[in-house]
Amino acid sequence: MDENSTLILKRYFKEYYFHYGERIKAPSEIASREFGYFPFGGAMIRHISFKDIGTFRAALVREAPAGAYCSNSLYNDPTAEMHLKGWKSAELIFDIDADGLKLPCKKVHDVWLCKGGGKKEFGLRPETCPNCKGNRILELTWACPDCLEGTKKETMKLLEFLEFDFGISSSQVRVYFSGNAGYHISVEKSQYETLDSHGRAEIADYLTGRGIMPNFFNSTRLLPNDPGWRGRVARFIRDLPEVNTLFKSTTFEKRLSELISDFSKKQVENFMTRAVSENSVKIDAMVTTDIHRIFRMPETLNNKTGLVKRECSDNLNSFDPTTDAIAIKDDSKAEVMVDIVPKIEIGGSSYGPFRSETIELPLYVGVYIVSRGAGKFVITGQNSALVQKEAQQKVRSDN
Amino acid sequence: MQFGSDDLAKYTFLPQAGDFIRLQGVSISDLANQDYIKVIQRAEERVLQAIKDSKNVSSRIDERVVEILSFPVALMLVKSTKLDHLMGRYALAEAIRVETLLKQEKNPKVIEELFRSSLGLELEHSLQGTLPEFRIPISEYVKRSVQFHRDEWKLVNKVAGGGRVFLAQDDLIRLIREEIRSMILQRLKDIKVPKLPENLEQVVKRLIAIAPPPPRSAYTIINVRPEDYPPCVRHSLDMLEKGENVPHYGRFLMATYLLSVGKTVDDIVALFPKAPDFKQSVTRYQVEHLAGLKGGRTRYRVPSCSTLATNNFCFRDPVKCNVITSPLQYPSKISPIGMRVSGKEETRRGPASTKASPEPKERRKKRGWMKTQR
Ligand code: SF4
Ligand SMILES: [Zn+2]
Ligand SMILES: [Zn+2]
Repeated sequence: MDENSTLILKRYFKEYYFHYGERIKAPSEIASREFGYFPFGGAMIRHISFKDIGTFRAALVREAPAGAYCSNSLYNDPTAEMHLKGWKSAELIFDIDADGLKLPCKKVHDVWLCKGGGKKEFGLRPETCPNCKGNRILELTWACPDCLEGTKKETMKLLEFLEFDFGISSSQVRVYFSGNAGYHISVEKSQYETLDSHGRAEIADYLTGRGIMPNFFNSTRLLPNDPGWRGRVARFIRDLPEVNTLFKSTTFEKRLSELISDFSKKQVENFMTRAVSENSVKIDAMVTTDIHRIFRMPETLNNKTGLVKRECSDNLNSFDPTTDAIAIKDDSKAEVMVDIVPKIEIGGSSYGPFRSETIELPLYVGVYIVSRGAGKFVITGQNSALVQKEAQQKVRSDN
Repeated sequence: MQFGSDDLAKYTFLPQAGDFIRLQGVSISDLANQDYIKVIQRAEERVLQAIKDSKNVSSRIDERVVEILSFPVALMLVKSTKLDHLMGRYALAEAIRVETLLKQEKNPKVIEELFRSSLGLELEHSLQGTLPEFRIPISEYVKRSVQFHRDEWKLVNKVAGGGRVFLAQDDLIRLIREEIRSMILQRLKDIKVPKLPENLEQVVKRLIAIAPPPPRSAYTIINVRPEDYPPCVRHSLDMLEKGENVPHYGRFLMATYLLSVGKTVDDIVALFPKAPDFKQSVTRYQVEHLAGLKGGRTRYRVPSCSTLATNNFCFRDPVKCNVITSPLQYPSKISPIGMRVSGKEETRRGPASTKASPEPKERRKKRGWMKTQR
């Protein structure tokens, strides 16, 4: 990223932490957690700890980092090297991201770039570049309101699994918009906190349906009000519309006996694949399984968008990431040289699509586009004052 | 509920059986007395049955007092032989006896009480339609089930509801088999045997004479020098050698590591006969699974040093472990030569992955411009 753009982003982040830093709440047992952050243009600094949240907030205002993170694990010594930390326990966490949903709208808003000839186009990444036939191709994904709605639905599915299957009450669950294209969910004080990564992989597989045996329902009869996957599969059978590609009969009982007695092995497999794909939760299993991870801090800014990772445990239904997660919503404007951007919706208005043009936009829209890596700030008017101020500070601190 | 003497005669390893004996006021010197001849005979029989075929210590629950008293006597006899491998074998045989009885146990209250008092596990029991009758907390289930690599043990193939897994009696008992074995082994290790009366000394001598020779060392079987292996792998092998319960991560490490340095499934299975998984075929299945020959067909990678550390299974050597991130990078004469599995050869060279295993299929996608391969 060019230097001016970085300076403006950094300024924006600093302002946010200066005015709204109080919103960042201390995680429980803060002194047992590992923190990390990375500065704009710099590498991640890990294995640090904070005794209280005040010191952490002050560090955010001072450093205005691009990202700030905290472990979901508790350690005896969070600043030690990994093997000496002394792992104690970790909250169960989940990550749901629009990219994992593979929705059809991706081909409208995602962008690819050929590294060979520099060709850029909307749509899914082609096998090879139609211009130069090269295959060194980069992708830039975007999340539209449909994508965000999709991740919200997945989150609700997850909450349902957590409550009914895993016995986790809603008061133990925190839900956050990730600040980018999905949701983070964390579970506090549960029986699962001491599970190692293999145990957590079992939970992830349960949610995604990975490894489910096609004949698991053969042993005893399924009922729609059975707990767990049995009930889910049974309700899936019951609730399929009258005309469908799987069953001839219409009642649950008859469909079940069709499945058990008439279906070929192949048909049973097809059936299970559908039942699983429609009922499982599309989580990123890696995040749940890895217990040495540091996780973005709630109420900090996401460097990939400039939006806030914001808690929405109590208002998930009505939560709208495109308006409720904007960091600083005022009438500052910025001029942005936009590279290639699909139609985006943010702050109640829509912008674009844009291709190689310079436009004046609300600052938070500019921050969003530049953070995505799809444009840069042009130094005029408002910006230049900002940049000069920042540049002076830089000169001063360099001396 | 309280266990009755009939229950204690079946589950002689329970601490409550010790209380029972104390109530009877029996002491070591009493055992020289003719009155206890039956107890001593039964104790010797228990050990002999373990020696002969490690699968079977019979149960004589008709003679409750003899059955209860003979167990601690048998422990003393075994301990007095000072043969480590006999201790492992005996613990195993007694554990199998308990498992068999538990699987046949008709009274769910006994099972609940046993889980509660010896394992600290709260079970629930009730008959609900066609669902399996016992329920245990999901976390307690997966902590144990991850050792079994068969798909039917995966959580996703069990019925889960309200934070609990529904289990049939057989599955429930299978799940804790290994804990019972290590509990009994621990008892054996902990007891201090006082001077035995002459009649018992005679039995000990007979047992030593008849005991099988110690099995070959793990290092002989796989033909390496211990110092060639990283401390974490060495630790697992040593535990295995002593008949101890190698924790899940240790076994996982040992199998994936040995496969990576070119040992075959057969080599690895050969290490296990005196180990926790009683049936060879089970061990074979598990190792083949890790090698990617069974089940999900994912070949599992050696866990990274940081994963092992997090799971309390790093025993680092301050010098040789200094800069490495994977046990495969431990400096030694044997270098990772790829993987040989039943004749088929697939090589994977270069530094080992430092990713946590098992590796989920999809990698984490980074935001922003990114390279993708198709
Ligand atoms: S540092 Fe790595 S190789 Fe050394 S003992 Fe620990 S886990 Fe094993
Ligand atoms: Zn091209
Ligand atoms: Zn979309």
